[in-house]
Amino acid sequence: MTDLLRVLRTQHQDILSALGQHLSISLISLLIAAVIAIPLAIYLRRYRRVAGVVLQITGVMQTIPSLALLGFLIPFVGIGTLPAIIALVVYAVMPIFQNTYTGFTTIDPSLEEAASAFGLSRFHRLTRIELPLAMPLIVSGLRIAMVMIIGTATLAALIGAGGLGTYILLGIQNNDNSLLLIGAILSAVLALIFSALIQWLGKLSFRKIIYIFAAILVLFAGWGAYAVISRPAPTITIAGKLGSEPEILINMYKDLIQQDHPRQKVVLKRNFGTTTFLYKALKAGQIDIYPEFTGTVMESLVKVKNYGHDPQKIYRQGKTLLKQQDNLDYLSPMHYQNGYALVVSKAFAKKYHLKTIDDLKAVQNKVKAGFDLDFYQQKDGYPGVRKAYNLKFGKVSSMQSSLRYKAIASGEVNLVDGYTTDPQIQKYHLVALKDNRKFFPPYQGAPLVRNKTLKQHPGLKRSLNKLKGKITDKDMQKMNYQVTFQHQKAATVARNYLIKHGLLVK
Amino acid sequence: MIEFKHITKTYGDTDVIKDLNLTINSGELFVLVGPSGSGKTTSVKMINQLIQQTSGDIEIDGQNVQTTDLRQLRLGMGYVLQNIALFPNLTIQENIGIQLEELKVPKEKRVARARDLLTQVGLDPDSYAGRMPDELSGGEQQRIGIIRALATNPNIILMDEAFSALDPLSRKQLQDIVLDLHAKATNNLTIVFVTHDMREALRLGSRIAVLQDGVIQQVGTQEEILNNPANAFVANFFKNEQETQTATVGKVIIQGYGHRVTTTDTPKMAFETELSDAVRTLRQQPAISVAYHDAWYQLKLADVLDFIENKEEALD
Repeated sequence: MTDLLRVLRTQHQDILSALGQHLSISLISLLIAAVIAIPLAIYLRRYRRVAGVVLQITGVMQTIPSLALLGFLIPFVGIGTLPAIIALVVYAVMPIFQNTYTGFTTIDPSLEEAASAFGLSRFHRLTRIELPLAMPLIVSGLRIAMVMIIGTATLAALIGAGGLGTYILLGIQNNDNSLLLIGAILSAVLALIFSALIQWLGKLSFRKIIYIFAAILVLFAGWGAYAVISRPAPTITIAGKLGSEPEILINMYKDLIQQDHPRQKVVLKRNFGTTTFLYKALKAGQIDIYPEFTGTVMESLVKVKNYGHDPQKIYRQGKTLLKQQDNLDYLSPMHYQNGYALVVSKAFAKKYHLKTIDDLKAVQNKVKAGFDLDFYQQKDGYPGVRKAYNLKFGKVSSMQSSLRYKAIASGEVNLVDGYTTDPQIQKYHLVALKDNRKFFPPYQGAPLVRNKTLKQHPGLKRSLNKLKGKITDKDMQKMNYQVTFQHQKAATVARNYLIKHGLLVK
Repeated sequence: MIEFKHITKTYGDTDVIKDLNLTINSGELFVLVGPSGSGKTTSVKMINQLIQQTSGDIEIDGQNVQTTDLRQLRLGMGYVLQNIALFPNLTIQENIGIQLEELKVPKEKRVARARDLLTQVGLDPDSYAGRMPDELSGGEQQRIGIIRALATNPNIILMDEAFSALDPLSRKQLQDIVLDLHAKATNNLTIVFVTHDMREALRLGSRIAVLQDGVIQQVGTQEEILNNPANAFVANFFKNEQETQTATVGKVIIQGYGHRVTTTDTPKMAFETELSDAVRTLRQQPAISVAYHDAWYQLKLADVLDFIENKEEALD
């Protein structure tokens, strides 16, 4: 609870903007879906067979898993808000269409007969009789669609559209319930508020509904026009993956760039999604820079097998391949390595004088290990390290990645796998044992930049390379701790580091 | 004057109307009567072109309806449906004014007209004008249905089985209202009334056309039809009305006497009970109850006397 309050206090501005993003994505999607579905249903109410076909199609679209749909859209419309809105519209069309159609076709035929026998014009009949009679069902269709949109919009965070989903994803990743709660509660509250609002709207007269509809449209059009007009001259867009570490790094990039070029506009997109999304966005030119690890480059981006354990060699190989493959520049890496590590409690290490993984050999019978499922199975995880160091632990169990730090903190296990810069290491008073035989593949962070951006902004490379060889594992761990557990702003943490190490002049 | 000239109507292989020729004079309360499937509803719906004929012409005062602007044609005509069909989303006064609204008559005039019409059929405008249709009883709703058809002061009103869904009491009251409105109308109002109920036909029609299987059997006044039936079908159709013997309590109720009640504590009698037996019981009891159409109807001695009195008149 106190955690929740602290997050609210330090990040309320970010939360508000996420809420705003969520709201605008949802509203725009609902509006577009309504503008498509309602007139279509009204038009098709007299063509039962065509309406049946349309209903089938919208039904099929509804069954496509949202993640699959988002993935499918990326090659066509890229990432960000646009594919999110398209996906949401696709989902929302069906309930609105179905309810509107049902609303119109279930009107008592004798009322239709009366209306035509009285000589009412088509328009008069539609607005005075049919629409009001169908309204309750149309409104319930809109409500269903709105609740669904607000729920599904949380997935928009996966493709860089932001919104409340960012907090849900961060919460899951960091096992941080306060973030998870903020995302979940706010989207639930949003759904409730809008459901009630739409119901209220449905009780108004037809004319008032049209006025409100028009007002919202004008508002959005104005806002859109403003956004287009006020779009600033060439900016550098820096994105980062989900989590505290990328966010700290991109803030450092921004500070360093703007120190050298104070007038340069830099836009940050934090928590922009996963590796694939970011890489595609970079190739498509939607972003200019993002920090990437050498290990990830080898594993997922250039797909090289058996790349060895020499950090220098790996970096050089990755740099060359990225340049050849997609004309991207991989700038100089920082010092720290965010790779796998075996982690024990400080007390345990002290008692048995453990500094390296080799030291474990002497106490291997006393070791009760808890490993993440992937680490437990992967060749570069537990099976590999066991072979490389010839270890045989007393007891080994696999568990969910988010649980293993809790398990070691509570003493259920005394050794877990982790990443060298995990903030939990500091939080739970743990130490990462040195990989003295250099078994684990190195994961060094470095900025990945579009070649075109480097050409457009001479001096950019020099600014970013100031981080070359900087930031130790300990430093990164501490900064992650400050952001993840103390809920300090990533921007502040980043700036403090740069100033302390003389990279930024106040 | 409404003229049907060699009208036929075919649905698939079935001829619903076969060479129909008919002239309805201005100012008549003209009834089309016949058993179900005789083509009477189809015929009346051709007048406002809700149904189009397969061949032949319909002319109103010499003007072919098919060449008349449809909206103009329908706006100049009232229409009353069997299921009443008041628009449930509009108030009573909005329902009455719907055609006037289409004609862009200002709101104050529409309201005034609605209130005037409500008064004419014995409904207090102050308590009825603002209500919603579902707050009214069936009989009250159909009164609104009738005055809605009168709102534009049309020369022609079409009524399609308008009272068939109502209970006998409401039916009789509404028949009286139609007779009254027709008599009082100053604009030579023509009403074309469709029914399957020969009693209703006899009660309302200044002239009656009897239809069977899409063919007109006879057109004439009450007397002509009762006294000189054109053929066996007509004679048979109106036979029951001529039979005066063995009056039963059922007949009294069908004619619209007595009151519908929800609970009953008076003696119950069968529908077929002869009137003489009923009168015997009524000498001792204030009332008797008779089941009809899943409901109870209460008869008092006065109701039976009214029935006999009117019957004597009819025979004169």
